[in-house]
Amino acid sequence: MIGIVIVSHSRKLAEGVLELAAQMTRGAVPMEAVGGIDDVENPIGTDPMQVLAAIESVAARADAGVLVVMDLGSALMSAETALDFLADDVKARVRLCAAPLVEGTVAAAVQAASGADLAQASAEAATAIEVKIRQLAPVTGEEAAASAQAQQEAAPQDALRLEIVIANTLGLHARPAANLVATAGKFRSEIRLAKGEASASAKSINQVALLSVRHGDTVVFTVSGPDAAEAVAALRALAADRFGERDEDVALAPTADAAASGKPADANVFSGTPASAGYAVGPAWVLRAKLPEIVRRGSDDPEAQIRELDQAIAAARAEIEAIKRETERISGKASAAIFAVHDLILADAALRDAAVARISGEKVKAAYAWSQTVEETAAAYGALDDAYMRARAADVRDCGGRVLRILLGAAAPALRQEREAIVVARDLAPSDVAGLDAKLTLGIVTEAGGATSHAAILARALGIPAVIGAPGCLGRIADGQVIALDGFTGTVWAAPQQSVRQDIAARRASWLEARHEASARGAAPAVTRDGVAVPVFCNIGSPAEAAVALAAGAEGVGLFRTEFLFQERDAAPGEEEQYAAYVAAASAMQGRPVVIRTLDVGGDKPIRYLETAKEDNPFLGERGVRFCLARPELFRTQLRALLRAAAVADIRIMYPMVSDVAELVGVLALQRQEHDALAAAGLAVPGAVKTGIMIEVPAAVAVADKLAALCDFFSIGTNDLTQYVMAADRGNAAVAPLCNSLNPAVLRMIAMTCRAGEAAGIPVAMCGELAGEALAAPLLLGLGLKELSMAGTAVAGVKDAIRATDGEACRALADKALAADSAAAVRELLRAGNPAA
Amino acid sequence: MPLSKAQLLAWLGKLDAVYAAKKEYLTDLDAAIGDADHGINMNRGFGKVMEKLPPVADKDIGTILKTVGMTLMSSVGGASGPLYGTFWMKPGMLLGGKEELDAADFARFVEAGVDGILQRGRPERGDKTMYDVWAPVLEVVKARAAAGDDVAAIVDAALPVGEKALADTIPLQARKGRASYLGERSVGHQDPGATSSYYMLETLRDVLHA
Ligand SMILES: Nc1ncnc2c1ncn2[C@@H]1O[C@H](COP(=O)(O)OP(=O)(O)OP(=O)(O)O)[C@@H](O)[C@H]1O
Ligand SMILES: [Mg+2]
Repeated sequence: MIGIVIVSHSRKLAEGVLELAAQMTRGAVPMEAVGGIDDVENPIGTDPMQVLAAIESVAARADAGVLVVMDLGSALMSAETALDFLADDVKARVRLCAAPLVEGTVAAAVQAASGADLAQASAEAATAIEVKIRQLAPVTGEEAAASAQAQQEAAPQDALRLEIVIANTLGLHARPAANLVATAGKFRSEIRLAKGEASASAKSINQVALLSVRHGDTVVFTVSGPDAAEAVAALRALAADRFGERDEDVALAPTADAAASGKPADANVFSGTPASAGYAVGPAWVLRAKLPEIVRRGSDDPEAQIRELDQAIAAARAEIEAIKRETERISGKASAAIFAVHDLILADAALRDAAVARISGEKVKAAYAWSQTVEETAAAYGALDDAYMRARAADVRDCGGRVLRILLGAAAPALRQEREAIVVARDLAPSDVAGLDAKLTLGIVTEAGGATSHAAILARALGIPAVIGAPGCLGRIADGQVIALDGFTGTVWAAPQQSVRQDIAARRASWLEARHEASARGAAPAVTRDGVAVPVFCNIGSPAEAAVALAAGAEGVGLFRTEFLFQERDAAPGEEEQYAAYVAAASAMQGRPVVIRTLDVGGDKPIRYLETAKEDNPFLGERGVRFCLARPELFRTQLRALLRAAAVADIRIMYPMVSDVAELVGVLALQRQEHDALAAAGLAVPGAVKTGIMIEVPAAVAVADKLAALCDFFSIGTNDLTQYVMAADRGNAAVAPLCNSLNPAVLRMIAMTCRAGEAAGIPVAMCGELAGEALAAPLLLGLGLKELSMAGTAVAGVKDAIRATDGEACRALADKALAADSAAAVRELLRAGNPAA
Repeated sequence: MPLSKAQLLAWLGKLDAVYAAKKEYLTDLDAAIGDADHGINMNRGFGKVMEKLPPVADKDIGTILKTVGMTLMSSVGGASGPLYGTFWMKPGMLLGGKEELDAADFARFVEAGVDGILQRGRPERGDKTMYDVWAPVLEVVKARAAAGDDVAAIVDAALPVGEKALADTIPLQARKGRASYLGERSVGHQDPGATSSYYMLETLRDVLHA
C-alpha cells in the first residue's frame, strides 16, 4: 500500500487534514502530518528536515511508495528539498502531488486504501478539485475545463515521440482510456496519439476511444509543449502500468470470447436490487437510447447559445456526479463506474468545441448543434467493429441526451409508451416513471440504483415488477429484444432461453392470478355482518397511483398527498400543472371521491426551492397548513387549482396540521377569497367544495367540537397524532415503543374526535397507518370511524376484516380497549377477537 | 586580498545583527505583498545560525557554509528557508577544505549559491524575487573576478548593481512565491527577499572594509 505525507505551513491544518483522511480510511493508510516550525511565537512555516523525517518514516511502513501532498509556497519547496536528501531507492518511491491539500489528501487516501498505486492516487487527487468545481457549477457558473485552455497556451516546440505496444487486455478502452485521458490532461503540452494513419488527441476520451486501440496494437504518442519531457515520462510510466488496467476491469468488460468460453449464460444474466415484486417477460423498451429529434433553429446570438450549452453541460455533469454517488452508495462502485465514463464524455473539450463550432459557424441554436454533434460521435462509435465499443454509442447518446434535456427544459418531449414492454433505462427520474403507463409496463429494469430509489417506490406502488441497479445490462439489451426479470430475486435475463422464458411466464401467470384474486376480494364492498357498509379508500401520492388504488378495490381516494408534485424540481408547479394533476387523479378514479390534501411540508421534509427556516424542532415548527399560511402565494395557487378541479370532478379539499380554530377560520377565508375571485373571473367553480381537516394534533382533538362546526369532515392522521399525544418520536429507538397508535391514550383521542364528529353530523375518517391494519378494523369501527383509507395493498385484508365483524362486537371491543392499560393489552384484545391472527 | 575565515564568521555575525535590526522593516515589506513574516524568518534563521556556529567555527569554510545552509533550511520557515539554505549549502559542498576564499573561489561561491536558488525556486528574471538581485550581481562578480579584481573590489563593484536591481523589483509584478497570489497588487512594492539578499552583499562590503 502507498502512504501519504501531508505538508502544511500550519501544523494544526496538517493534523486536521490527516484526521479527515484517516476518518475515511479508518487508519488503514500509513500517513503522517508535518507542518509549522519550531517557534512558539511564529509557528507558521515549513521545515524541509521535518518533511524528510516524515517521508522516511512513512516510507518504512508503505511498501508501494509515498505520496506527498502540500499546501502552498514553501511547502512545495521544502518537500522538493527533502527529496534531495533522500536515499535514491527511497526517492524513487516518492511522488509529489500537485493536488489541493484537503481535497487531494482525502481523495488520495481513499485511493490508497483501495490499493491504488502512486500514479493512480496522484491522478485521482489532482482531479479531486474538479468534483468540487462541478458540484458548485450550478451555483458558481464555473467549469472545470482547464485542459482546453491549457491546450491553447501550449507553444509548439520540438515534438517528442513515444512508441508503445499496447500490452493491456482491454486496449485503450474503459478505464485504461480514462486513465490515459486523465494523465494527458495534466500536462500543458499537446499530446497526440496515432495508430497507423489515424490520430487523436490524448486529452479527448471520445477521440481516444474512437481510435479503437486494441491489445497488441502499436501506437505513437507525439508530445509538444513546455512540459513535453515530463508528459512523455508520465505516459511511459502509465503504459508500463498497463494504463492502470485492473483484473476486475477485464472481468467486467464483455468480450467476444466470453461467449465462446463456455459461460454464455452468465454474460446475459444480470443481478440487481429487487425493487418491486413480480415477474415479467416481454419486449424491452430501452429509454433514452435515442436522442429526441431537434428541429434546426437559427440563432443570431451565438455567444448566448454557447453560454447556455456550457451551463447545460455543467449541470448535466453535476447530475451525473450525484447519480454516481447515490449509485455507488447503494449498489457499489462497479455499478457506478459507467457514470464516470459519462462524465468523461461530457468533460471532453473536443465534443463541446465541435458543438460550439457549429453554433458559431452555422448560426444555429445550442440544442440543435449539440444533438448533431452527439449523434455524429455516437454514430462513429456505432460503426466500430468491436461490440464493446459499439455499446458505448448508447453512452454517448445517453449523457448527450441529458445535456439536451437540460437545454430544452420543460419543452423536452415526454415519454410516450405505446405498447406492452419492459422498460429498460440507465436510470429513471420520478417524472419518467410518472409518464409510464402502468397497464403497458410489464416491468422496469435500470442500471443505476440510487437515483431511482424513488422510482422503485413508485414501481412498488404501481405493482410493476422492477429490478434496479443492474450494471451493464443496457449494453446487452436492444429495443424490442425479449427479456425476462424476476423482481423477487433481482435477476434480469437479457437473452433468456426458451426454458427461462417459459418458467418466468408461468410464474408471472400465477403471480398475476394471486393478485387478481386479492383485488377481486378487494373490489366487493365491505359490509359488516349487520349490514353496515364501510367505505374503504386508498392513500395515493401521485395521479399514476390512482389506477392502482382502483385496481385494489378502493371506493375512492381518502388521501391524495400533493407533495409529489412539489418535490425533485427547482420551482413550484404552476396552477395549470396542478390542475391537470388533480383532474388526472380524479378521472382515474372514475367518478369516485378524491380527497386532496394541501401541501404538507415543513422543516422535517423540506423542499429545496421553498425557503425553510432552520428550526431546532421542526416537528413543532412551521409544518403543514402553518407553512402554507406563511406563504400565501404558494397556497393560493394550489387552492385555485383545487377549486377549479373540483368543478369537474368529485374533489374534496383537506388541510393538514390544523391546531387552532382561528387558523381554520383563516384558511377557510383564503379559500373563500380564491373561490370568489375565480367565479368573478368567469372560471368554472363548484357551488361548494367539501372541505375537511386532518386531526393529527392533540389541540385539534380538544377543540374538535368547534372545528367540526366549521368544516365538512375530519380525517385522523394516526402517525402524527400518536407522536404528539405520546410526545415520543418514533424514529428514536429509546422511546419508539411508546409511540404506538394502539396506546389507550391515542384511542381515547380518536374516540373523542368521533364523538365530536357525530354530534356535529360530520363523518370522521382515518387515513393514518392504523387504518390499514386489518386486525384493528373492528376496533376502529367500534370507536366510531366511518371511513378508512390506506395503502392499496391493505385494502383486501381490511375489507375481509370488516366483513367478518358486526357493530355490537366492534363497540364491545372498543369499550374494552379504551379501558385497557397499555398498547400491548389492546393488541392482546385484538388478537383474542380474531383467532385467525 | 582573499576573504578569510575570520571575515566570513564576522560577516555571518553581522548578518545576524542586521536581520535583527531590520526585522520590522523586512516584515513590513513582506506585509505589503506577502504574509508578513520575512523579517521574522530571517531573524530566526540567523539567530539559529549563531547558535550552531561555535562548534564548527574552527572547521574549514566548506563545513561552515554547509552548517549555515542546513541551519537556515530548517529554521527560516518560509520559502526563503530552502532558498537561502541551498544558497549557502551548495558552495559549502564545493569549497570543502578551504580556509580562505580568493577571488575565483568567491566567484564560485556566488555562482553555486545562485545556482542553488535557481534549482530550488526555478525563478526567472523579472519574477520579483531575490533572484532579480542575484542574477545581475553574479554577472558582475564573474566578470570582475575574471578581470583579476580581489574580493573587496568585486563586492564594491557588485553592490551598486545589486542596489539598482533591488529598486528595480518595485515596479515588477510577482510571479513566484506568496506575492504572486496578489497579482497586479504586488506592483509598486520592493520585494522582501530581494531586500534581504541585498543586505547580504551590503554587510559583506562593510566587513571587508572594516
Ligand atoms: N520560487 C521562488 N524563487 C525565488 N525566490 C522566491 C521564490 N518564492 C519566493 N521567493 C522569495 O522569497 C521571499 C519571501 O520569503 P519568505 O521567507 O517571506 O517566504 P514566504 O513567501 O512567506 O514563504 P511561504 O511560501 O512559506 O509563505 C520573496 O520575497 C521572494 O524574494
Ligand atoms: Mg513571507
